[in-house]
Amino acid sequence: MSAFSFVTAMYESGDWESAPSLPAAVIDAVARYTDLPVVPSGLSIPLGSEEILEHPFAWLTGHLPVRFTDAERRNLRKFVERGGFFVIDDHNHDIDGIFHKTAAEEITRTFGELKRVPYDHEIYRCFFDFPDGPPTTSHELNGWGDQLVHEHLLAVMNGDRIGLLYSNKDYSSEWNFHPDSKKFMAVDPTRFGVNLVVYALTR
Amino acid sequence: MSSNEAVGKVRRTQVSLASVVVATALAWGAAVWLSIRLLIGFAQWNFDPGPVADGLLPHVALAVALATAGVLLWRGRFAWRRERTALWIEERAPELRYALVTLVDPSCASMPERAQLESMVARIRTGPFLRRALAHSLVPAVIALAVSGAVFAAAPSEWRGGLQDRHRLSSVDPDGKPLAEMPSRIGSVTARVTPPAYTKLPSQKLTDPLKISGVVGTRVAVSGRGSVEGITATLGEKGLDVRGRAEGWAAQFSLPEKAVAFTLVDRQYKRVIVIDPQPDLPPDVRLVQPGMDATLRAPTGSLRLEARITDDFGIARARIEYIVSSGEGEGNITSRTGELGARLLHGDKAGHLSLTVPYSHFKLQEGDVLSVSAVAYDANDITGPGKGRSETRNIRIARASEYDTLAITPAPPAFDKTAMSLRMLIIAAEKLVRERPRLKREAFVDRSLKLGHQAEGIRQKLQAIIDEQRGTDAGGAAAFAADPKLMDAMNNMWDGVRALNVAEPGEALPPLRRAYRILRELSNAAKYYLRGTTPPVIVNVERVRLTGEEPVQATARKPRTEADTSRDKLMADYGRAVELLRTDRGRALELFMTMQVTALRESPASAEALGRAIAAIHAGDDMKASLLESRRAIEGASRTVNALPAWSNSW
Repeated sequence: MSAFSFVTAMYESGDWESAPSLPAAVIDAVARYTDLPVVPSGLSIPLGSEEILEHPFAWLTGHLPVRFTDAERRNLRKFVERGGFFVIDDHNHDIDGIFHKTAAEEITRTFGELKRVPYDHEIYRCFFDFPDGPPTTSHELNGWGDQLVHEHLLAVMNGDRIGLLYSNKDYSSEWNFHPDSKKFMAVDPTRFGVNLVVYALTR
Repeated sequence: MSSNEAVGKVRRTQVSLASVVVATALAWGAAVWLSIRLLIGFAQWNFDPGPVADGLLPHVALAVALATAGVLLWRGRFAWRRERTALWIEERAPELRYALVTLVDPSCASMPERAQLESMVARIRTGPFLRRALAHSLVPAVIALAVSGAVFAAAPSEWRGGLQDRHRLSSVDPDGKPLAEMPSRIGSVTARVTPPAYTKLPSQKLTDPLKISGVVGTRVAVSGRGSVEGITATLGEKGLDVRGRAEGWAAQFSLPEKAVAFTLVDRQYKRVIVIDPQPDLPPDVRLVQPGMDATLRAPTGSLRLEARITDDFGIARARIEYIVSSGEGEGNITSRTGELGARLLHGDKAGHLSLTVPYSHFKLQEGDVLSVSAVAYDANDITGPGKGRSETRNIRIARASEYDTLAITPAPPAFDKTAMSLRMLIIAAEKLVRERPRLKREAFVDRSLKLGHQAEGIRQKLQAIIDEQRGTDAGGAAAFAADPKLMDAMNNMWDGVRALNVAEPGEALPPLRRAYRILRELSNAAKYYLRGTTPPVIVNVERVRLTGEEPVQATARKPRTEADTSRDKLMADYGRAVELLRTDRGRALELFMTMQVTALRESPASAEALGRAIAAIHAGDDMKASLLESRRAIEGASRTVNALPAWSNSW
């Protein structure tokens, strides 16, 4: 089995690299709680490149408008249809912000309408248990962005499995820290990241 | 009483007895037929014994009824012979002591005691015997017939009819013919296909179609002759309203978004038509200018915007949309949106947007990102409008603090036209080299100089691009370095122009080709990202491995069900359909059409092959080739292995 690589999807229209420490924080959590072989640093791969199809998991984030090129849109569809797990997180956590508006439009154009992920979905139970759904981020609570706690994640389903997970929670801010900072935290906020990786690799 | 009178009495009794026997046999036979028919109808309606049994069971009922009547006639066969009838009377009147038998016996015609015997016979009346026989045999039979007839009449009509007459109708056709006796009213149908008005496509009339295709939203009216009563129509799972018309019946529907089967049922008859809707694709929008992303030092000058739009049916309107994003990071990103150059295209299949907008229009500040894209809507007023959007180009305004580290490039011009001209110039130079032996020197030099002049024009275009990239500062000196590849192309163009101007096109070709290759590379160059790459953070995986302290409550992993691909299902259905072809061609055709509906959604190549097979089956042609083609299309490409198969040991 080849080691898991955390892939950040590069796209042409926005600031794809806006959470540069997030991959390391999630990789650290995966190593702390699982024995999954994991590559120690993240990869950045253009969404428009066929190379991204060689990986089962990819993360896309940003603040700016998301407008996919034809190649990016085509690869995103291929990625999901071939069983990949793609996460798009709104770094702005604005309910009607420019990232949300444009990313949701692109997803809808590519796959159709997003659907709510129910709280009893396996993604909340496959490793750590999150009975109340997606963990709330401090950025939702501290008054930034739209000052809302987003209660649900949204998804594009590939059969009975999540193929694309869309989040307004701003995990890109919440998890964007050096892994060594975890020793100052009461609770590891990247636990949900482990669930995402475990779900992507085993479900 | 004469002997003739005795014989006449026996004959009359014989006729009456025979009538009773025949009537009894017929009554019992009819009662048995009605009872068995009702039982068969009940069984057929509830258990569907299959088409073979459906055909046989009514004959079985008739055979049993005839056998019953035959047995009864056999039992009453004494009534056919006079001597046996006489004996039958003697049995009921023992005081005759065989007087009657003796009188009807021809061999006793000359007996002297006949007068005494005749007087004995004259005292006997046969009426009571006949009434008793009637009461014992015919009355029970008539009662049985009445009861079974009453039960038959009271039973549900479906039981009386069974499967074959499941859709038997009580009414009659306008022609006066009972519907149950009529041939299929869906055997010959006509479909009028009316595309939506915005497509500007003509209506068409299809006779007995196997498949109806059209753009989603197309109105379809399927009609046929005969009364409407009892005809049902379904589109996929949805029932349709079938309405009577002056000359027959009709069912109407709009083409849905996905392929489905349109099914008509008339009593025992069924007909399937494959509905193959074609989607109305959204407009294809290409942003020609600006050709690639760029970062500007200052928002001065103008932005050239150009887009090309095409659509399969017609474009309604198009415009340029822009977003200006400001701010650097968390919590302070703001944006403004706007539209430019909105244009109505009145249903044209192709169109373009072209405008030049001064950067001042966007009120750009340092660090702002201007994202532009073209948007077009088609004229689909049924399921649309379809929206097409081009790729996005981002123009970023650099911050003053970035000047030392950021490569500043102005919005690039279109290389394509320059490269295309150069390609044509190269072809012309190659042709001149080939024709050189046949040309006079003057003509050769003249053509080479003309090519040199054209090459100089291209070189000047390149020079303009380089000058634009360099920019100028207040002192007139170049502010930025031009792209080194562009400089390389420029130098090669210089060499090419010089060679052409001295009538050496052969020597001009290598540098011209190099310049062409460089321009193609620039044209196809990967766009670079605005903010650089992320700094790599390497996690010490071995140090932190399994040191986490948060409680884990992982749920057991449930294995995924094995994927049953549509191809597998089609292959299974294909096998069943081919088997059915041997026994029931109609059901096989129906199954093939259902497969085609599935294939239209998931495997268009298979759908085409299945369509040919269906046409061959329907027309009664040789279907082997089309069936083989269908199987191969469903199976897909053969899989190869990198090894010789086991049977090739001898190799």
